Amino acid sequence: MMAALTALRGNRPLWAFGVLVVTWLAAILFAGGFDSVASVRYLVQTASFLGIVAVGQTLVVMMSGIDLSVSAVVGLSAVVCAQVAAGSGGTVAVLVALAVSALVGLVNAAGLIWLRLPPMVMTLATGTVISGALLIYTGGSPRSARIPLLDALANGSVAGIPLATILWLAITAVAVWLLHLSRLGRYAFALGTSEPASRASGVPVPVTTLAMYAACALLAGVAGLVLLGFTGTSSLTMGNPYQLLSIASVVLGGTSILGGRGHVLGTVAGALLLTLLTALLVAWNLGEGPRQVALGLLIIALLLVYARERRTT
Amino acid sequence: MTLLNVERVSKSFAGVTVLREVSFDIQPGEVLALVGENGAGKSTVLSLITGLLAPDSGTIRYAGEPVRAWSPHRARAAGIASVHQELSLNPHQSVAQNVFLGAWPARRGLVRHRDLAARARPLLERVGLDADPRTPAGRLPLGAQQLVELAKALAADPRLLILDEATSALDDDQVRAVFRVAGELRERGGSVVIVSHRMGELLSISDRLTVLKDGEVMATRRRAETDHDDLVRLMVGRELSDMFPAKPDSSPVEPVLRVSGLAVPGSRAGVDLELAPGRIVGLGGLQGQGQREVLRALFGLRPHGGRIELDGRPCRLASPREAIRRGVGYVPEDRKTEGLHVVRSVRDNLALTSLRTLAPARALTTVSRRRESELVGELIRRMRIKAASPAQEARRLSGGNQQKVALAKWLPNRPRVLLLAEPTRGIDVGTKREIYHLLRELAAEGMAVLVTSGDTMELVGLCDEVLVMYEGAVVDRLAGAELTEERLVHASVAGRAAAGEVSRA
Repeated sequence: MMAALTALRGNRPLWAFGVLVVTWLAAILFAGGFDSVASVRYLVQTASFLGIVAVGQTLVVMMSGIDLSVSAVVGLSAVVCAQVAAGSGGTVAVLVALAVSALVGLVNAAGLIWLRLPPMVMTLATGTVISGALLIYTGGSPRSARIPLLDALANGSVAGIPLATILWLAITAVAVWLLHLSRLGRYAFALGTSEPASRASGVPVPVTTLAMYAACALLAGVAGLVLLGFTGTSSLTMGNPYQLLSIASVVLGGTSILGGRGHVLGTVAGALLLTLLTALLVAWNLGEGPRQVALGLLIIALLLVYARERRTT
Repeated sequence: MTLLNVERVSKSFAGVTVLREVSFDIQPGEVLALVGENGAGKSTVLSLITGLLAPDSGTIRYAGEPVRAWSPHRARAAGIASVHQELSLNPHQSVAQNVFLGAWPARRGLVRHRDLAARARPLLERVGLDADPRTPAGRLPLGAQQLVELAKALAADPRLLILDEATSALDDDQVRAVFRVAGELRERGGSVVIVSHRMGELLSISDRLTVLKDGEVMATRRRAETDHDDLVRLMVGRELSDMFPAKPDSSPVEPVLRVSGLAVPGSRAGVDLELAPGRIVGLGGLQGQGQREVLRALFGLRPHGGRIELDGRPCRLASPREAIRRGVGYVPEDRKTEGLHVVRSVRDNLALTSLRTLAPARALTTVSRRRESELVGELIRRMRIKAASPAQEARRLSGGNQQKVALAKWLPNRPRVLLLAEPTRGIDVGTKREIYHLLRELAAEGMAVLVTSGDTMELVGLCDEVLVMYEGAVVDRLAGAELTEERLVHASVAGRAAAGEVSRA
């Protein structure tokens, strides 16, 4: 019994869900308008964009990596899709955008494996290159596009549940399998806890790194497409909010930023929590400035509650 | 006056008693050995003395005064210095900077590196380390780094020096240097507490020996009143006559692995060796003569030249994955960084090398939990790994059980060649014995085993043949009746003499 309780206390993803529930109840009690079905639907739909990026980020963080090119890839995917759709039609555009996104992930991984660059530097550099390249590609004025498929995906719903949310949950389910049940996931966890020990145990380091970074970039690309469908227009900076928020979702979800510990489902709670907090601060009529200050402080406070890194003993 | 008095001290963690009414004392001008198996409570006792932990009950008196609000900082200030098996050096700072870490001599707020180096030199000389104080500490071999730790402890001019497995990474010469330091300290009225698994060392240096078993003091003996067997009996509670398994009569077998001219960067000459099924071969010699590099090269962890043949066919071992695929397993000397994923569970550690069979076909397949549990359960039973459950983190296991996990994970792959570096370093007597017998069993099943060890008794007791290495080359081969501790020590040192002549010529 005691042991079970201790284990429960140490289960940080579970903490994330607990904090989410408490915050939600507090929002219903102390701020108006959080108890309606419509508001819940709106929240989970908004959380989906961040959530999809964050699930990808989880795959990489678990390997004790980090992907700072996700914001650029979100923009890349949307801009490329809008641009290609103008000439070749929606389906081709979607496929091209996804392929280009995944390619960015492969480039990131290649830099880590063969150039031995630290993930933070490598991915930040790729992100910068992409942003610059997009500026050249679009001449500074990206197109807008209405692609029926993406429109339906972003705005449609089935049985009252937004399609974007369903997509997010489906992606999460696949990620749970990939990270927690498959062989590749075991390798990722091993790599995240100790690279020397993983090498000496025959873990296929290059394959694992390539797969996880490609998956992360691909998911950022998917998020870009859904956003394109949601807003109907692409922009070079549309991914910017998702960069640090995706990492915050992962960590608030109980995954160790050092890798090797955590659960994808925690990230779902993390993304919902961040979206809810943002909505709360908006509901309190805080301006953009105070809102960001408050959000930052709240993230720190929550991390102190349950997601501090352990001291190694 | 007694320097340190430990009186009826008890300590428990989460309801588990690790020390029960432990009492002993340390006189000025005395070397006291703490003896016991892993988990007997030695580390806890030392942590109480150095202020890392506080006792639940009982008192500790230091220089007559009961210690209050004891902390590592206060203990250091009171003249207690310690050297542990785990290094606390900053590998990127120079040896001199490490020696004076936290107390750099400064002139008007500026640290002058020349001063620092000049002050470090006499300390390095005292510990018998011939190294430039300006080299980064991380560049030195493990044994030399351990000596830097000792110099660092001496820099504080301690009244009580604690040596906690501080000699486990050292060769015989370096051990002698450490003992000389301990002897000097004793003559000047200082005291030393030493913990080691090498019983011979303890008997040669200490004045009294306190034996701990399961958190209780079994006895404190004067050195003249005791011997090896007596101590082991007290530690284990029974006789350990068959430490090493019997060696089978070796009839010549076709070797599975044949290596010729194996050279790693920095070695003087190539290494030739043959590993045959059923045989245990040892790599001996002074510490750091390339034994470790040979193992790492054969496991694909180190670039190397030369010719390697498996089953008579030449092959390249460019990466651990390739080595594993060809049936090579490796238990590294540094089990906490390379041998194990210490923060992962015992289950994850044991299954990691078998995922190919637990999740067949491509990498994108589900790992079968059922087959994993079966496999892990079987390994835990076979190796008698003492873990609370397969879900326990590997770092919570004792050193001996960690080593069993690091070894056990290779067994499901049925490797044909098993490489082990320092397989019993820092492990208690009982587990040592188990590992020796297991290695012999594995050999009998047809495995070829290659072992490095700094412990001559281990090489002589365990191996069928020992290759003596010096500066990356094999200088002697001992087998059969020739394989004795005397011959081995002689050959290790003779290698140096011979090489010295070569370089003079």
